[in-house]
Amino acid sequence: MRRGVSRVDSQNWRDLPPQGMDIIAAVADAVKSGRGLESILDNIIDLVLEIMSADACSIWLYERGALRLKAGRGLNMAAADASSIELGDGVTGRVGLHREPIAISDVREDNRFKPIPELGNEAYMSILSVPMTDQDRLVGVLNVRTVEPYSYTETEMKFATYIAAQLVGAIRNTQLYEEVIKGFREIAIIHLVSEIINSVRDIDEMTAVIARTCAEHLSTRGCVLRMLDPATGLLEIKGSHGVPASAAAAAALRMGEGLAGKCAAEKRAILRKDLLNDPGEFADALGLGMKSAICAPLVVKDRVVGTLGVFDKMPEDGGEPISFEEEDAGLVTIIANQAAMAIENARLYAEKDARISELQLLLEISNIMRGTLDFESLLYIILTSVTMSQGFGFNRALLFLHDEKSGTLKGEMAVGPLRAADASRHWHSFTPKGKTLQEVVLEYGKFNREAGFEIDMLVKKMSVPVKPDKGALARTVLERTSFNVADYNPAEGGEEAALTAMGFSTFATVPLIAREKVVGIMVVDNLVTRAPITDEQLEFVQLFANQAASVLETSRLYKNIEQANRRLVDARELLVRSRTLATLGEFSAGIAHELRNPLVSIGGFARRLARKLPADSEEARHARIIFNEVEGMEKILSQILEFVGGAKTETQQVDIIGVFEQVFVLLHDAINSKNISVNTDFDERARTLLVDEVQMRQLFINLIKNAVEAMKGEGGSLRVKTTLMETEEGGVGLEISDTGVGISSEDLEHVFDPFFTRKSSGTGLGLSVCARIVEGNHGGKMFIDSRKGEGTSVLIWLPPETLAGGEGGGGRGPLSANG
Amino acid sequence: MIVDDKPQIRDLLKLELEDDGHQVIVCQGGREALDILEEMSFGVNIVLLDIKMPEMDGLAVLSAIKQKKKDLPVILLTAYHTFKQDFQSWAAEEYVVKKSDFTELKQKIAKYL
Ligand SMILES: Nc1ncnc2c1ncn2[C@@H]1O[C@H](COP(=O)(O)OP(=O)(O)O)[C@@H](O)[C@H]1O
Ligand SMILES: [Mg+2]
Repeated sequence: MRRGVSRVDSQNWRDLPPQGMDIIAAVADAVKSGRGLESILDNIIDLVLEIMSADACSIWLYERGALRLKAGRGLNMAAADASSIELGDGVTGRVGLHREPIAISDVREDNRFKPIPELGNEAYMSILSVPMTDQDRLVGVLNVRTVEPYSYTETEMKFATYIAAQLVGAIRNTQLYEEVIKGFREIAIIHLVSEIINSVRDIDEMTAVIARTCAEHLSTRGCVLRMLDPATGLLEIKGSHGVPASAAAAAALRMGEGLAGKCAAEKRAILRKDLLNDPGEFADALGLGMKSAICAPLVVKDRVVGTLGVFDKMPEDGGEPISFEEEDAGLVTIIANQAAMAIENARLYAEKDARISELQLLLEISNIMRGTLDFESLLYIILTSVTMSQGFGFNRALLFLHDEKSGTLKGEMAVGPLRAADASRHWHSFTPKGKTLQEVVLEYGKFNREAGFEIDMLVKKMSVPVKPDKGALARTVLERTSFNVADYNPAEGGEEAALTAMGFSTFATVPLIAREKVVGIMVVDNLVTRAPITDEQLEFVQLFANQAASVLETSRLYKNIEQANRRLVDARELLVRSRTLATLGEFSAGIAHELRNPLVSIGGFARRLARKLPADSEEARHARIIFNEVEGMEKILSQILEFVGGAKTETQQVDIIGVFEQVFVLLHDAINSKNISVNTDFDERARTLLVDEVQMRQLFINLIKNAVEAMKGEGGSLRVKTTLMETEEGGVGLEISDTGVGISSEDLEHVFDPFFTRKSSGTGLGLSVCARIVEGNHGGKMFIDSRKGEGTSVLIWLPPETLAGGEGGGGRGPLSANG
Repeated sequence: MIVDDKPQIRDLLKLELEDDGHQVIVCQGGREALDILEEMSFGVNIVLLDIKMPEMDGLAVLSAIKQKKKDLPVILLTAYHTFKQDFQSWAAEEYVVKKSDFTELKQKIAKYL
């Protein structure tokens, strides 16, 4: 047995706080290394077992109303699928219910513990059980067990809690990722199908194409498209795939009869996962032995004109059909909507031949939207499409995003003139002649944005609570439907009063719905032309809004993932850097000390010799060489020790501009001899900072020296700038730029590495020291932007805490070096 | 008085300071230094004290000296730059980083003699 009372002491993480760098690194590795959630969980479990030297560890996730065993070691995992724990049941259930950790040193003496024999969990005496929560939501429970009784320490509990938090993050990321991938797939299918559908104009050909495309792209055994014949009231098969022609000819259904009849009668999609055991109203009219099926109504202007059904999903790798899921039903519904529109369109087309169809417009816009994943650009394309005359032709449009957490609609973007009188001025200068829709969208968007600047500012200030009894905007979200509003008069001083100020009195609202969620709403009006908004127009905008919403949602998810990834990469880089520093620190402190004394005697005696010997003798020259060399070595040694630091960071109020000026005096000769022009741009608001003065001076010296050294030959210019950051994050920005030789992109990856230098007399420690000062000791960030042959900019960001709040300094920095 | 466990450094410092006309006593450890100070304190005007010594830590020697003779100036010799901040809380008058160039040290000694 490896453990005893001193178990924790024998571990190498004894001296580290629970967030110790090595452990963080290991956890980050475990989280990142995984391919898929399962292997991440396994990696984390291995890590926990190793670090805590525990005998068993398990992760239970809260799914479908119970805690389910997802990963574990030391338990009989063969029984994992069958075991679940109700909230409140046993130790794990209690932890899940109350979201508080429980530690028990010997479960035989605690009646809260409940053995689960098939897992073999009674073989362990101690248990440490901690909850995994995402904000208020229970994600799962992490359990650690040992065979012998054992009392968990505070540190171990903290560590387990930390691991639980990491797990939550990992799980969230994986889920998000899967969602996005799925989203992409769906959009791709919908797009493809609608493109194919819309390439055909003839109705009969179209129904056949719809059935075939639908079956092929959803990988189903077959697809049946029925149209309602208004004369007979029968749903007749007009297009099919995977169905023998003889069967297709015979099997017409009445409304309410069979799956398609019921779907048409109830005007909703129906999903049957297991027709063999649960046929419901299903009648196998085609005699094909279907196992599972989806049927969605084809609805045009609120009227059912037919149905679209698919049966038997075929797995990608061949084999037996698998059952449809809810998301397939969603997809079929969307395709049915597109199909209905296409069919209706083809009908209209047959009537009036040459007008540009709305659907085609929709398609074209959706093409443009698919060209970008940038959230802002999408908003912009959406609003532009709604307002330009080649598009939906509304005069103005507002877009609000729905923040479910706070239950509010937040004004996000607006286009169009604020006053009717402004309109002609803007619209006249824009001629869309001879441009493609895409060009028009982009150009008109930019243009409209400028014109709509005032209204955009106004709408961005709006925040409307989504509550019953509130105004038209809230109702659009709650009732998930569009409204045509006339002579609207919101409460004065209320959240919607801004609508009146912007002249919105007769307008329409449209919800943006994606994946069952209202992601936002649009408000449109015709302030200038005063054209009434028809129901058909609104219906059409709604169709567009749904597409727009799903693209927006995808972009948002994508943005989240990107952000999460970027944060991870940042954290890793920082970690790698600090690890190198730590190792280097221990190593060089030792060596430096050993070297210091011998160097003093070598150099000191050589100096004496040089002094005592006749000054022009050969020997004196040799002695001088010795002590010069020694002096160089001592300089390197000092740099290393400085780098190793170990000293506390002592922050106080420092006049940062003054420090810069001092440094310029110090480096005056070097700057002047090269004829370098110095250009400073100091922000007075960021003059006094709460920082370590000695370190700041060191930082500026290192950076300005590098800049000066980079400028070979005569001339060149050095620019130093400080700024109070106006971004959300705040803080202070420092920038030191030169017009020197620049850094190649390969070198750029290494300049922060200790001892990396391209100079014959460099130590390669300058930038490492800088990074340590900025990132390690002051909690800031440091970046280098450089182009070979053009110059280099070093950008430093110091966190808002460094902005002196008026009180005197003293104390430690926001982050102190840990030695 | 010079207190350092490394004979080369002791000799070098002694030679250098004697060149400048000082009288120098060398000790190879804190214990010896304290004994000598006890016996013949009258002769010692300044102490150069190495911090890192095996037998008795320089800082312990410093506090023993300061307990007995508060006014006797002490210059600490260190291998580290970064002792600076902590040094302020110790009772020594000065601290010098060991370097083969003794100019700084000599200037500091001159301040007290
Ligand atoms: N302003 C700059 N312009 C061009 N190269 C730079 C600049 N700053 C740093 N470098 C590159 O990064 C290397 C490492 O810099 P540093 O860590 O300060 O060490 P050193 O200056 O001793 O070489 C330099 O050798 C140089 O190649
Ligand atoms: Mg440098």
